[in-house]
Amino acid sequence: MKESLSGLFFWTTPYKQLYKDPAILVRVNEKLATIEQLKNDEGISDSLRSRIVAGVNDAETKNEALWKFYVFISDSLFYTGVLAKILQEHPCQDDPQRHAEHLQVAKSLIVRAVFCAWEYWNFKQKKINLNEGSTFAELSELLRLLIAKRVSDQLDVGYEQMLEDVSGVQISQYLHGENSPKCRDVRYKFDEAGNFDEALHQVVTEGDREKVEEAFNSLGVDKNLFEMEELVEVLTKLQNNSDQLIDLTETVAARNQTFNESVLRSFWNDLG
Amino acid sequence: MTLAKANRAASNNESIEARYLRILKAASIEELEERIVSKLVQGLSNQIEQRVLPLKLSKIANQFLIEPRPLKISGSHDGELEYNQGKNRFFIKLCSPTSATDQPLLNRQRFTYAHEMAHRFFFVEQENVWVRAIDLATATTLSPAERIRERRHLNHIEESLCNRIAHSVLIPDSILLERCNLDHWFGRKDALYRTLSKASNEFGVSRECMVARIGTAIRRKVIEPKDGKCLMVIAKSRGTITQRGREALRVKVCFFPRKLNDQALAVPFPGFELHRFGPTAEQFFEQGFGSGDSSGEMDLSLSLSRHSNRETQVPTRLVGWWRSYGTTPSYRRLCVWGTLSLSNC
Repeated sequence: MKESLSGLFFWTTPYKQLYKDPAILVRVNEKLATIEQLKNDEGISDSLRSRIVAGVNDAETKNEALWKFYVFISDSLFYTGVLAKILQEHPCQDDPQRHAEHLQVAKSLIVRAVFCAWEYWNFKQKKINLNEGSTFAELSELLRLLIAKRVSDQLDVGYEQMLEDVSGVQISQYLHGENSPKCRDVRYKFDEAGNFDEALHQVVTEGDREKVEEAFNSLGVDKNLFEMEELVEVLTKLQNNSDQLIDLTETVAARNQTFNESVLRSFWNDLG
Repeated sequence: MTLAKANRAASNNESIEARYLRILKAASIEELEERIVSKLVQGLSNQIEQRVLPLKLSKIANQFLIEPRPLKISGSHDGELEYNQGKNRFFIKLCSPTSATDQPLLNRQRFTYAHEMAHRFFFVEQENVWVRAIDLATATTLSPAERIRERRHLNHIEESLCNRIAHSVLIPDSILLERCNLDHWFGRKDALYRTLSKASNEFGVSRECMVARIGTAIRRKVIEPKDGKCLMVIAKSRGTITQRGREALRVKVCFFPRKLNDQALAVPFPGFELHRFGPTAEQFFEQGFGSGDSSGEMDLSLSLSRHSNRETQVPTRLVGWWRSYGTTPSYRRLCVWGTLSLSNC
């Protein structure tokens, strides 16, 4: 399970109601039909049909409120993150509001992904076995569809507005760096001042301490820049990737680059 | 040097710096710097003699197996140098988020080009292939921790050297001495800023590059300013690339007298936070920095410390001028210059 989730940021269980067409069968006199069919049936009285239409509309309104994707948004989504402090020239370093651009791109990607999945499902006439993993060819088709949709979204003048309508969350109210009153995560909100040695002993095994400390030093950031939770996060990532720490300093001859940023970024891609 | 020789050297408990210098066939860091600068300046001799400014390094790139035309890449750093073994050529790559049309960005890229060109001389030929001296020097280190530490140390040395070499090549000593008479510059009082800007434009470099170059010339005693002359450029930044901290007003580049009345001072350095000058000076500079395109005179107390004992404060007085400039946050600067003296004198 862990392997299949690696690199995923959005997924859903193949819940039945998401791909079945539920229907209620009723009997009116000798006729057995779904409610949907009855409301258009000329063979039954207008008064009954109007009651059915009204009832269906009422039920749909109630159902609409129930049939929603509930997204549980973690505070960490709005936190600019410790990696932004370490990477050079990261836009969120000094202005947490710049994180809104990242969330906007993520939102666009999620909306587009859901839309493409739905279109793909319909293109395949709803005959995909959702209990099995997709083949490489199917995934490739889906990704091509996603790319094509991106092009059409750029032409769609209503796309930006649609994105605005999709979410009721006022992102700017929640964006924050560390030490911000906007933070809702108590671990960070009431965090103690960073103590590098303490964090190092807390997180890193004895045999790796020297190596991890050297790797941290190669990042070129002042240790006092971090609170305790952040130090623990950075050191945990370094410890988890201790076999690759040497690669951090395997840089090409470059101006203003003290470490290999792509190697460091990869440490944060394990969802661990 | 072959890898086998490098291995043997490593086993002899040689310091990493000594190993690195031996691979580069240099006796010292200073000698290495002078040698690379001489090579490049020699290549530029025609342009220097004819005073063709700004100097065009791309015209001499071929002499050193470097492709003259830089490649554009994306990245948060400034640029890099890559050796292509198949073509046996070095390629300079410049990170360019937008097309370089504005002068500050062009100046920055010119400096990066010179910096990357300097990196070329930190490669050594081994069996017809060019290899980074850093890779050779650290290839045999057994402990991962030690290897990371050594590579960091050597990278720091090489980066500082490449910066100094780039300064010296874009602004060679001979023309610097001709164009930069500090007595004349400081004699112009508040107009020094215009003189500095004019000289920077001539060389096609930023004002900071020009100030850093003067600072290097002072350290090498090519220029010897008198009467406590000092100049600094202040910017909002997170500090130097190897010690990034909180965003604050910091000294970007500067030159300060190292002694006042025979008293050795611990002078500011790039990344120096302004609060260390004391609250009065910090407040003054903050106001100047935030005041649009303004200028003015000043008579200000600056707190410095003794070189021998950083805990002991030395009260000084800076009498001079300031000028703020730059409209975008990344280019916003405050230039400060004048004469520094001990407060009690």
